[in-house]
Amino acid sequence: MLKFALRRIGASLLILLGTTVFIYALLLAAPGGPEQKYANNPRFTPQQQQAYVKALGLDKPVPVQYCRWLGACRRDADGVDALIGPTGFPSIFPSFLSGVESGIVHGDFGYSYENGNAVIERISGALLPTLILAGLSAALWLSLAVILGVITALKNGGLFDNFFSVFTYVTAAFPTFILGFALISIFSVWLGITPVSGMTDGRLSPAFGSNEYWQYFAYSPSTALADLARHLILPVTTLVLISVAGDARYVRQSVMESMGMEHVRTARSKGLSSLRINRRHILRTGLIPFATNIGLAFPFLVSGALITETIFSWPGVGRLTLIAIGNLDYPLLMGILSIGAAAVAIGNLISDLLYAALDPRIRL
Amino acid sequence: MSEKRAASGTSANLLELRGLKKHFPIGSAIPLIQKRKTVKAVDGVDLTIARGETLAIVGESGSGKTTLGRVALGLQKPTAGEVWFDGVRLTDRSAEEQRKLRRKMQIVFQDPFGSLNPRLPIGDQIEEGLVAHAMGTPSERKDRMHSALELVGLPAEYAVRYPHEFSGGQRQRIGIARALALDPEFVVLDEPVSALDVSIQSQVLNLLADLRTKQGLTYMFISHNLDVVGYFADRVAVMYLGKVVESGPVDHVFTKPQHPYTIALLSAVPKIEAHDTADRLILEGEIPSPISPPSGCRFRTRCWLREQLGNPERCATEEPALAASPRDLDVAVACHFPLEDGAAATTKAGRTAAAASSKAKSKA
Repeated sequence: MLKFALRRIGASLLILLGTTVFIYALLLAAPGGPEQKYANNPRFTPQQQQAYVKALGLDKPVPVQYCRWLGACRRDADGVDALIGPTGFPSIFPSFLSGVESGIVHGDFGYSYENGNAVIERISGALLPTLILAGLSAALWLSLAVILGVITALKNGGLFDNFFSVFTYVTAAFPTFILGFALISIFSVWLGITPVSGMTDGRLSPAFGSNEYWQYFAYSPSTALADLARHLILPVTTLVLISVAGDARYVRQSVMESMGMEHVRTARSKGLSSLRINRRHILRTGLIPFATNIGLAFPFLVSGALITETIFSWPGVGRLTLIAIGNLDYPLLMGILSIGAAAVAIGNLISDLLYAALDPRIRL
Repeated sequence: MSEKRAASGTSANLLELRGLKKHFPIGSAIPLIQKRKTVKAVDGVDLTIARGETLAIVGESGSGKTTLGRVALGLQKPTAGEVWFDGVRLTDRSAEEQRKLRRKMQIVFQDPFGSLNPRLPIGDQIEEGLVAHAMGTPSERKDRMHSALELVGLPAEYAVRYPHEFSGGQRQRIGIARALALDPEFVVLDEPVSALDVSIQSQVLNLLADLRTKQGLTYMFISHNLDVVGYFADRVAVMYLGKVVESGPVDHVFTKPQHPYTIALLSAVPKIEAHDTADRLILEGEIPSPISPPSGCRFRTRCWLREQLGNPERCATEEPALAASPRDLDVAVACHFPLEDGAAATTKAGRTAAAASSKAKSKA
């Protein structure tokens, strides 16, 4: 098991490295770039432009640029020397060993073009709102999917199962941006019982968790929580509605598959009660594929929901991604993409390890 | 036959099937216009199995053997008819009472790979039935499970292993141990050796025969291997398309078969001695669809005798009843023109002669 885990982690790191190359190449090929931001500014002289390009290191060959962005090369050296940090360890090693602090492997994602803030600060600021929204939605829809999937499988062909099939098609046919706006129109505009958007009710919209935020709620966690809950209702409903049907069908499918397995008939022939058969022989087998699938939901907790967050002005990573794209804010976008890629790799790793742990046939 | 059980029972017949039918609905109906189609897997079977006896059910694939075994145990609900077990009418007992009776009626499945739960150690799977029927204290159950394993020749230490760690033959023995741990009176053996290598088949069959004497078991032995049936069973029932066409003591049925289908089955058994290949009776085509079986005699579409008799009307209009043969009261046969010298009919010349005599008789 340990060997399998180590091998799997090694493979994940390699895939991640490949992804960073891909991200870098993709954004290199995209139009725009730091120096073009000032291309139409008459006061930006060619000399200034040259100095700017040099300061950013954009005069270097592309592989060197990538190497520096990654953090495998340090910025204050050239050639092969750059690969070795001041302490003598390779530059790619953690900062406390190599003494190198630049590059994404050392947590340095550069600075946002938009406002000059560190990319890592902007992302970490958006991470908590995304974690709250995505985490709550995922917890809700995954558990709902299990409950609905198991019920529809055990009572397949019944009234509820048929009703749920219709529900699946309806929600599958609804794009997020229509469902989101429909909910806002009904519950916020028409009925007026939920806030239209945002994460807080503050008139000046104090940032979530900031000093002003707590001041606004008179330092009362319960008031703040109630306010947060009100703002969560619609975006969570949107996310749950669009995701639950597909996952419930998945659970239904795999539970039904395990219901038809021969060992279930064996269990019945032993004279076990149906409760015990369902629990021990059907659900145990039928829910493992889904349990391992849960690991795949992990990236969602980090990357957030692009469309839903944008519709509801939720200050999360999803919305930040859209802002970064709109502003051609490459450092920010590359940061978000890299962290997202890492989350996908971690999610897959969790899923694989979970599968190996849950299935006795896999001996590692 | 075992003396131990014969003395303890109240009625001589341990199992009695009366007019048993099992129809499976397929597709969906158009209301008022078309009735839902059904597959008539078992379509009116009357059988008795005496205490300590082994009744073999033979017939080609799709004749309803397996379904009959499952319905007899109450693993599937019959569409019509009655199942009596040890003087108790199973068919009108509640599900809970039937569940409790399962302890006494066990089944060994055909597929040694699918019939064990891949995610539970085999010891747990054997013990589970004991738990369900609240047999003994936990430590007694452990002992019982261990002795069941030893009974089938597996070391008790293997109890903690998972099914995938065993070979096919070992797994089938685990399946037998599982069934016998509950100390049943009646065991359905659903092609217990057909999935096994020839070298292991005889080993498992000998084990089953030993256990029959040691535990005083009554078997329903479902098989399409006539050699094995001849060796293993006391009585045999030949099934065709959901009905019994001939039944009686094995030595009677196999030496003096009367139904043309039985003769066809017997002549198809590969023999080591050289013989004329023309002697082998090949039934052409597939078994007809059990959705709409042929009118009159179900076997008529493939009956070689009917052809030789010049296709008598009666075969297509009147369904032959399973009745005691006037020639041998121990044997019941469902044919309008039962053969007198069935053994001879396993050769080509014998068949022509037999047909001629049947013809002469039917005219008389």
